[in-house]
Amino acid sequence: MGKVLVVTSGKGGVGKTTSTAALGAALARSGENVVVIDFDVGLRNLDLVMGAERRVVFDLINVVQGDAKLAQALIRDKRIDTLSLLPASQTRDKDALTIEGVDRVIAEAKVKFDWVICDSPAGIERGALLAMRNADVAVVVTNPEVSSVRDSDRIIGMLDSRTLRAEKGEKIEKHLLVTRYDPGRASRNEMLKVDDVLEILSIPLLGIIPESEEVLRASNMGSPVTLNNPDSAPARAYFDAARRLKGELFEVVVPLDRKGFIGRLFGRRVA
Amino acid sequence: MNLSSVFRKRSSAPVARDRLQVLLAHERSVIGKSDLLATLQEEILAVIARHVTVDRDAVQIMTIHKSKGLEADVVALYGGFFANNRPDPVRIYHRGNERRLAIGKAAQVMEEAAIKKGQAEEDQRLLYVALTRARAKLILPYVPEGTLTRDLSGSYAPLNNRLRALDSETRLNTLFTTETIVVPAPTDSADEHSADAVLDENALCDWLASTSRTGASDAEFTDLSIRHRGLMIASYTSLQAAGPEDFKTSVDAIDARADNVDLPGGRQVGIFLHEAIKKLDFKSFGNAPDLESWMARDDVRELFASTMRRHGVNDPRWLARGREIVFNALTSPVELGETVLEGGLYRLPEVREMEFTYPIPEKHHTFLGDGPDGAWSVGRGYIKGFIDLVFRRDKLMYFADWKGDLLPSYEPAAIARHVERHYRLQARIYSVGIVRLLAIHTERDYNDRFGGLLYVFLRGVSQTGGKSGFHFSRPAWDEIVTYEYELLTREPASELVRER
Repeated sequence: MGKVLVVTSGKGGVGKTTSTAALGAALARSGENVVVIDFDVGLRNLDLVMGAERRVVFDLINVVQGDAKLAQALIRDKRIDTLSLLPASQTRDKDALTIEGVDRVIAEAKVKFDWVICDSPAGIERGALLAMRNADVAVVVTNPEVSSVRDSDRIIGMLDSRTLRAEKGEKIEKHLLVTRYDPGRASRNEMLKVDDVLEILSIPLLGIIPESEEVLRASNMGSPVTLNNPDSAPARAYFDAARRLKGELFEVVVPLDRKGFIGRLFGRRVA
Repeated sequence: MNLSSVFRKRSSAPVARDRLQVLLAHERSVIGKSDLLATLQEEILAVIARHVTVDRDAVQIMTIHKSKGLEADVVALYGGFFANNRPDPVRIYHRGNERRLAIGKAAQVMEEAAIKKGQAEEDQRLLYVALTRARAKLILPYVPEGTLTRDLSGSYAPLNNRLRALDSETRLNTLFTTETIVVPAPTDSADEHSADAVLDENALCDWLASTSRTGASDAEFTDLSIRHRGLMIASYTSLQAAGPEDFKTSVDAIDARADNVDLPGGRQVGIFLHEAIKKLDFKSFGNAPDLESWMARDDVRELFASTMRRHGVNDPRWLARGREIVFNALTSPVELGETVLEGGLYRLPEVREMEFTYPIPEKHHTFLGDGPDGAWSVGRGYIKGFIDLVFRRDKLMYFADWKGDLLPSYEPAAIARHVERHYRLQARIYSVGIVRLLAIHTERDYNDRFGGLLYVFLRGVSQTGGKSGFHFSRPAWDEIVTYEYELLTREPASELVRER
């Protein structure tokens, strides 16, 4: 039986979809069977970040409503065949998602896959609640920035009260993933330090993803950063995070891009 | 990281832009107003995707016009069952060797027989294109006699009649694999927009039913025809500063040439020559064109031979004469007003077979010289034309029209008289259309960008060049403005716009 993981944050624009794609691809590359599910009904983007936008025929709502079978709606990644995508609907309303339907789809996906990764929409409304509802593990994506940390705190509270596990009195595994981290600015005291964030939110750290143009470049190309440039700093950070999700324990470091002279000249501006 | 990888990596933004353009063009059509083509495409995809893994691009729905030149393993035809009950206000027909337009109802009633004949011929050409697109399997609709309350009247009817004839000889099942589909009886629902995407196998049948309804969804069809009409006024602005590569892509979408010039020697010959020039690879001339060696090229010979076959030109002498005519027209020096184009037309950046369309001017339109294009509405109809060749020299755009007329003399004065007598209106309509197409609004702009119109009387161009066979004109800006006003004051309902 696979594990259900929700990637969530409360605040928008912190990197949920990017992290879902990157973690999903990293896990799939390590031999796990992975499905990533987009819960952002009406504003789907996971298909675009994964480069599958022209392959969508059926979506989550078709499956939830029984118009299509799960197998018919799954889009298998062309680069890694252990990675599949279940896209959200772009044209329908999120109210078309029912609790029973989502539970059924997740239950079915758990049988087929080792990892069911749910990409949550921003906010704390119905869509976000449905995305986290079946989760065994949560990855809370946070930027080292005050409003993001505050929203993450709110989401952590909901993970502890509004998920099926919480309702049954069980613990839900929660991890913090800090994205868009700039060590230079943090050392100059211009950005919250990871230790500050950890102290405030007090959940274990899964990884620190450095701010990098590689992330934008990968989404431009429609490829998770862990596939588009596996040697880049953010990709290495995501690979480490994926190993920790699988239970390995080792020290968290912030990988840095190895830049040549020209890379240093152009690096910051290029994307 | 070396230098080249830095530059390679910089180029991800254009990839992103291209992906978004493709995606958003699709999503806007699906999410916005209902679009029958988009809906149908979704429904067919949904049915197929249930059984096999399929990419979106695997199923393409297009008009027969757009399918010209394309092939696919499996092709299904659909539609053309019933005649449009809102006919085009501008109809093309032929009288003798003249091509004419009938504008408005009165004119069309007068020329009903000729229009019908022209339409039937056009339908046959279209069906021929449609039937020859499939590589492996062709799926045809077939409506047996007496199965519908109203019999077929559209452009598909002749083919359906052929199938009925085969059916009555009980040969249908020996020639085709048939499958019976029961179409639900049409209901006279007041809700004409009920063509919501129903994701099940009945969807196709439902769609058939909804389009079989008398007068069904007129608004949708009008909307559809406007959006799928080919090049639109709005897209002409993209020509202004565009290089030939830029507008080639938009020209790819133009409808097949639907009308043809009559040629003594048969209209087929005219079609054949136009088609051969249209398909010819101008690179085949090389740098130093030589008639003998060019004619000896296999690709050139094959092009002319197959085009002759396709258009039923049976006189074998046309194989040589056709090549000679085309060679001369494209490689001979041409005088363009003051300047002489020594190298011949084939050397310049060019686009062939460009369609233009603009509404017949109405009182409330913004006229040339009065300001930029405003919102135009189609009142009495629109004027369509095909430009055989658009070419650019320096910053000026020129437009050429091939003429196959067989004339006693091709000397400049004789041709000028011939043009004045037979092509005057066409020249005016084309001039206005082209100026509109270039989005020219001021005299200065006109002088900066409009080169002129070139009539090429193909048979009259000599190998050594000179003025024979060419007629060049460049109206003054004031004349162009006047031409447009003239179109406003014409009484289209009672008048037949003549000639080409």
